[in-house]
Formats: sequence, structure tokens, C-alpha cells
Amino acid sequence: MKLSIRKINAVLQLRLKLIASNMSTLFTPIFAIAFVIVMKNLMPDVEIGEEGSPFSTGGFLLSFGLIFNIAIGGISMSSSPIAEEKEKNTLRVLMTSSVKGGEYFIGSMIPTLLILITANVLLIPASGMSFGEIPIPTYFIITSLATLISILIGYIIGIYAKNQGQATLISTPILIILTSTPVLRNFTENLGEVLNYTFVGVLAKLADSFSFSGDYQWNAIDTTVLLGWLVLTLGIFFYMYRKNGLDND
Amino acid sequence: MTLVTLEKVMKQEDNITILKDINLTIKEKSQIGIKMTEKESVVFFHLITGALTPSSGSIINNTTDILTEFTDDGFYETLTVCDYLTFFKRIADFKKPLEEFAGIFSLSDVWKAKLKKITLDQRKRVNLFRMFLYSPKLMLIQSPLSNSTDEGIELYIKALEHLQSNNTAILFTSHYLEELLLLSNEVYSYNRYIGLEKSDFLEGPIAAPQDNIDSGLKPANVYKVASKMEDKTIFFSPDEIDFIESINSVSNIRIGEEYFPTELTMNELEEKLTNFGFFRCHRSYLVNLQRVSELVSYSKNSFTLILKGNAKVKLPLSRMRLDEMKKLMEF
Repeated sequence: MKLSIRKINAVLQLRLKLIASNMSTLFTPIFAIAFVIVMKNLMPDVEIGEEGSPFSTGGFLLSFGLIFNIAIGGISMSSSPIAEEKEKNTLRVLMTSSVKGGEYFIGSMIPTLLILITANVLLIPASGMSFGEIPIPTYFIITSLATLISILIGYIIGIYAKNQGQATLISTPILIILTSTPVLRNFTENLGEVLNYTFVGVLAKLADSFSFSGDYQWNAIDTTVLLGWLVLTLGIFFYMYRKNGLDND
Repeated sequence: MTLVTLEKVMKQEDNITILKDINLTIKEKSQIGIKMTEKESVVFFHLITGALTPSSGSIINNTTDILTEFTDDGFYETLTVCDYLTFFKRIADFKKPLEEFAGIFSLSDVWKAKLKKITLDQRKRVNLFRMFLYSPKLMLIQSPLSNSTDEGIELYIKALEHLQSNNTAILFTSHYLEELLLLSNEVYSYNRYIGLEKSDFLEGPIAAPQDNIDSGLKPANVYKVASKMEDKTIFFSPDEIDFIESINSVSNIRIGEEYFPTELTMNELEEKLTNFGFFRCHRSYLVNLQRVSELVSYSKNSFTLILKGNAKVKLPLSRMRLDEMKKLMEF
């Protein structure tokens, strides 16, 4: 399937215009940053071990913001527009106007990915941590890969759902599981072991290092887990796309 | 050049026959109207574009340059007309400035308006403009004049004339024959029992009854038009009837929203009903002049009669019959 850069660029600009004309789509990343800033001012600013604290405030808030932004933002910002376009029959107009599925996905993904990655970076100063405290390349790679996986999960939901209501219904349990992963990991050791093999589990490990240990060790297992999830979500995405098409009315 | 040829096309969905016996040739620059239901129309469009394959028969497509417009196609409501069309300009790689054509599609006034703020008539012209950007060989349009105002129809036809000059062939489908007569040169009706049938709507001399204009009108004593419905025969007084329409060679009495078939031919009915104020405005229409409230001209060559209390009903008036009507109604 030959894709046109011109059409991808046109879809990208359309998506930016739609985001600019309806700022509610930016609710999740803005809320994640705002919540972290508010909590930063409400919670006592402590480091690990300081005043008997088991975690550092900045690290804890950063991990919360990251999970919220990547899991909820990634899925909702990618699944909702597709479902809305299906419901309002705008996607059909695009598909009958010589826009290919690949062009639509790539053009739509770039702004979403950039917005969420920017939010991931802004969460560092918002949580009160300094860029010096964080292994930036590692942080950037892991959070960006997790964001991409999350967006792909959103696209899978968007392809499957026929309308926005259905997309929300399917997204909700997935979002609950993903956002609960950092907490569930601490319930039992066995469950924690299993959850470590999810992309959010890797994200939670990274976040834990900011909260508790202050140092994240980049390792082959986490790399494999992230790449495995990327391949898995891409595989499911292509399968769903081939099976259902983009607009399966 | 022939763009699409359909031969004995039949399509079934879930064991239900949606279309059958479709034989049609779409040539370059042709303007074809087909009377069919919305469901039939959607399937028909999908067959022509290749999105669906026929259950039997063959479709030969000599072009892939086909665009479709369905009645429920959506818009990005938060965008302005200009932004929306600019997006499609980029997709279509259209080189000229859009503003040059805004006047042709009568969209200059709403150029910077958000799509959610514009009227249905304007939306239809935005869709037409969008499709024009691609310079397609064939456009498939579903019910473009449904719920349009008179001004909207006039401006839509004006925009269509521009498309015709670009050698685009257009196929319209609609529930309403009147709509198709305004838009097309060739009109067909789809009947699920006999397939696609060409309607004899070509402008031509109508087999005239006895000359009734100069002979002076003689009121008949009593006359009622009979319609056989299953096990009963209904009689209608001429003054109850809005108009009579010929559909697939069957004369149908139209009263309000209802149709009643009659065994009489259009010529027989004309002969009987002329004395009751009926007028053969078109080969396929016999209108009760008492019901006519407006005569509208959407372009130099098309005249339309609008009936009292039902602005949706628009009957075609043949150009050659216009003078006769003027004489009759003294205007």
C-alpha cells in the first residue's frame, strides 16, 4: 500500500485544526499536568527516608501523572476520534475521497503522540523534579514507547467500536486495569510478577525508581516486554484493520 | 466514452434481493436520475464503486475516478467552510485558489462561517464543491434536493451546470421523480419486480386530446376517477386530486401523500379531466391547476410548479407547454 506524504500531512493538519477547535480533546494531558501541580502544592515535599517517608513526593506525583497521561490519554485520544468520525459519517467521506487507512492513522497519530510526549516531559518540572534527577534518554524512550502502545490500543478499540458510546464502554475496563497496575503490583508477589510483563508494568517500574530508589536500571527484560507489546498491539491492529476495515458500515 | 456498464446486475444481502435486472450504461457527461429507495441506492452506489461485488451479472468499470455523496455524509462541524474545503484541496492536490470558485458554488457569504452554522442548502453545495476539487469522471449523488428551499434548488442547479462544463457524468438517485426531472436528462425507475426501467420523460409532443383551449370549456355533469385497490374500487372527485403521475406506464392519482393507481392512460385522463381544470404540464404529469400556487424557474430551460400546502412537491413544466399554461391561466 503506497502512502502519500501529502495526504498524511493534510490529515495531520486537519487533526491539529480539529484539536484547536475543540480543546476538550486535550483534557487528559492538561488534567494530568494540572493535577500533579495541585497535588505538589498540597502534599508535603519530602524525599525518600525524610521524616520516615517511604517515597519521594516528586517521584510519586510523576509516576501518577505518567500513568494517567499515557494510559488514559493515549487510549481516549486515539479511540474517541475514530469512533466519533464513524458515528458522524465523516470517516466515510474521507475514505471515499481517496484517503487511505494508513494515511489517516499516521496523520492522526502524529499530533496525538507529540502532545502526549510533550505532556510526559512537562510532567517532570510539574512534579517538582529536576531534569538532572532523571535519566532523560531512558525516560524519553520508555514513556514514548508506552505512549505509542497505548495509542495503538486506542486505535484497536476505535476500529472495533461502531460509535463513541461503544468505544467508551470497551475502553473503561481496559483503562481501569491499566491505571490500577501500579497499585495491583504491590498486592501479591505473584500478581506483581505477571503485571511486570505488561507495558504499564514497565512504566510502573520506571516510576517506582523515581519514588523509592531514585535509579532505574535499563534491562533486557523491560526492553523485550516493551517491544513485545509494540509488536503484539501492531499485530492486533493490522489484523483488526484487515478484518473490519476502518469504516465497516 | 462509456464509463460504467452494468449488465443484468443482481445483488442480494442476507438472502434478500436488494437489486435485480439492472442494465445501465453510464457514458461520459451523462446526467442520469434513478428513482429508488435509500437502501437500494446505497447498495447501487457501492456496486458501482466496487465496494460491493454483484451476486450475479457484470459491472465493467472503465474508470476508478468515482466519487459518492450519501444523504447522511457528515461534516467536521467545528471547521469553517474555507478550512474544510482547504483540507480536501490538499488531499485532491487541486492547484487553483478555492476563492475563485466560491461564487460558482454560491458560498462566498459563508466562506468563513463554521459548518455547523450553515444551512442544509449550503451544505449540499459544500459537498458539491468538495467533489468538484477531484475533477471526477463520475459522481454518484443521493437525493441532493431533498428538503431544499427553492433558492437552494436554483443555486444547486447553477453549480451543477459548472460541473457539467467540466465533463463530469453525474448519477442521481432519489425517492422523488420530480427531483430527478430537475437534475437529469435520462430518468429511470427501479422496480423490484421488473428491474430498471427507462421512463419516457423526454421532451416530446404529447398526444393531444381534443383541442380544449379554443373550443371553450364545457363543464361535465359528473365524473369520478376510479382506482382499483385489491377488492374494492375507490372513486375520486377531480377536485380531491392534486395531480396524476405516470410511473412505469401506470397512471397514479396523487392525493396528499398517497398514491392510487388507475387503469386509465394519461391521455384518457387528460381528455376526461381537462374540463375539470386539469392541465398536462409534462408528459408524465397531469396537474390540478386549482392546486398550483407557484411557478418557479430554476434556470432558463426548467420550470417547476409548486402545489398549495405542499412545497415539497415540485412538478416539472415542459417548456413547450408554458405558453399554453399562460393562455389558460392568463398571466
